[in-house]
Amino acid sequence: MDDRRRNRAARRQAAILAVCLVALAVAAAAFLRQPADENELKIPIAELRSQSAELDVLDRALARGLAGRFAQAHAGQLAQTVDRSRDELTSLKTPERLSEQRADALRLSSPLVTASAALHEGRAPLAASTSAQVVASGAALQAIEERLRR
Amino acid sequence: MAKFAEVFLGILTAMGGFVEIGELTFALNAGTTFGYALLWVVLLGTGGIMVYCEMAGRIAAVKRQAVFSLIRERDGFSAGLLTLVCANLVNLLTCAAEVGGVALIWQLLSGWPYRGLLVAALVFLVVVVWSTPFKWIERIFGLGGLLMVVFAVAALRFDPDWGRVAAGFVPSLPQLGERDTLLFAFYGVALMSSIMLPYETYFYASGGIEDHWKPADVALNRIVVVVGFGLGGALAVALVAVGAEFFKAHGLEPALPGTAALAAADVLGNVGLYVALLGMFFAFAGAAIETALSGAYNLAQFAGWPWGLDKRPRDAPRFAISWVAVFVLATIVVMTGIDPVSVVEVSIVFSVVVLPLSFFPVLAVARDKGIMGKHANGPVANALGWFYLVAITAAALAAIPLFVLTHGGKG
Amino acid sequence: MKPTIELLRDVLDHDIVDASGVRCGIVDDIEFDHAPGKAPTIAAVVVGPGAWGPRLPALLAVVARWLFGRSVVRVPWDDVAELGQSLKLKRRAGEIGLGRIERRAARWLQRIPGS
Repeated sequence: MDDRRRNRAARRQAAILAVCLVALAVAAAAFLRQPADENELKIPIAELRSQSAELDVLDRALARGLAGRFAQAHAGQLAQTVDRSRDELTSLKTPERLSEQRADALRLSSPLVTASAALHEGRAPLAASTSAQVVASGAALQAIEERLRR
Repeated sequence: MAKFAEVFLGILTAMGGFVEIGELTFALNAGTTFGYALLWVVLLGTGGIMVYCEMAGRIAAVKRQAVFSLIRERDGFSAGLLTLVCANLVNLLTCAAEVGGVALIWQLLSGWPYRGLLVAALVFLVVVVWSTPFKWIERIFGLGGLLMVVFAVAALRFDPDWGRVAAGFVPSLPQLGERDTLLFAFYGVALMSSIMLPYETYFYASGGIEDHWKPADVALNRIVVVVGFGLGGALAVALVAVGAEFFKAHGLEPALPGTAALAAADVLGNVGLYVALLGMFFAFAGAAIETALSGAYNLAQFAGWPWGLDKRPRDAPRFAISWVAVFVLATIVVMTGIDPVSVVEVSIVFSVVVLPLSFFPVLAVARDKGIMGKHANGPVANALGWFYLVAITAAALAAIPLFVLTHGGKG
Repeated sequence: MKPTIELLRDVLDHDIVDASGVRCGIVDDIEFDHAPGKAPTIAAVVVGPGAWGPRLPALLAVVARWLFGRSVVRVPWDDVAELGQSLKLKRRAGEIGLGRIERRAARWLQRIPGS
């Protein structure tokens, strides 16, 4: 008797759970399908801006005598975060009005890839032109970020 | 004399075990993004973990019972099981992040590939916990974590504006735009949560039982908690200062342990660099061990299995299998390539949601004169206990909405 | 033992410790003697998935039944020596049927050095 009642109640609860999960899945899908807005685009751009600043700090620390093995390993980890941010930037679905800024940001971040690869391989400190590009990228990325903030 | 040494070591261990990868990241980023404006949250969180660890430790000394058997007794089986599942999920994710952090640090020291180092970290952690007595584990990783003091030294060398530091301790909401206010609120909740991670209470109380505390140890417990966690909180303040004085100026948001080490290297050279890396290793490895053991303590206490590192594995077999399983599952989680810092950010958000469920039974038992006798909460402990329960419940309700609205805490 | 005890507070969900001090389970349920005309008394405490499973909401109870079965171990109240923070038994766990899984796990673990 007890078992039958329990099985019935279990079936009821399972049905309610299924309905809730489906509703949650539908809501999540709708939420994720929306095109990215200024705030979402700002996130990977801010990450890239931070990474360019970090490459500059790392380069200058190396010039002042920072341990080489640490710097190489850290540059490798940094290179991976740069890749991750660029991947996120590429995969965002941006509306027309934001696609130019997204393209700009992507272009500006390619010196970061070369610079982090160079530091990872121990070619330190960076060539003057590379480090200048990194700094310039950082400033430009920040400008895009500020424009998106408004 | 021996008692004094024990208190002293207890304080140092509590201080050294305070920081882990989540708190490190959130404290540095809080400083970078908001300067000193969130220092009052560090103060609030430190007070909270003091209050609840003191109560849990007192219960362990007087009643010889650890948190999860309390939870089952007071909340009943279903609510207790829900708390167990949620708490252990959080433990697992936190452990995963710490294991990943250890591998990242080893990679910075050796240059060897990350995935191989993950396996090495797993083997290292399992062997250490399997073969080392509990007291030695506490001491080694707690005292090793004290190397994180290098960040306090670095913070002082950066010559902070003490006026602004002091102002940061006054609870206030800075005048910001709507989006930045949401981010500020999220950082507040996350920072508080990272300081009050529940595994610290579970581990502290279970550790007290492992150390065979008696009612006479209640005063010792109070001193260790207040002084030790107080100093740990000071370390968290130092991390915020490093964020505010070094990273903020460069426009750098730290997302890797190596980045934190760069700040130490900036003022203290390569010595500072290596002390910081070593300190982070002990802090992360210690936290990995504490979260894995917490998972096993929680499960064994809830299910009625024999538990304790003071027993040989064959005398507490399911307990031993449990903590090994947590380490293995944690390593699998980070093996998928997921970034450890992202994992810990998620676990911190969910941990604050679980917190009220874990803390309520602790408060209920600590104030019960029938159980605690003369060691029951006085008016101060009661007032603080209730205040923090309300505060963390508010934080728990706000955590997930804030996480979603700020796109995972990034803006 | 005290003449009256609060069952929910002092017995249910408390640890069970055997005569040699080894933890061997938690009180998952309580069994009563319903002699007509007299007040009900405790006959036994019950331990096992068959005892705690039904305490869960129906869906989880059914899942627990699939995963863990319905086995129970019945510990007669006469075997309880002392009622304090935990229930202390008069005999050892093996004699009553408790702790079987723990012993099996211990035998399996013994192959590993250092256990």
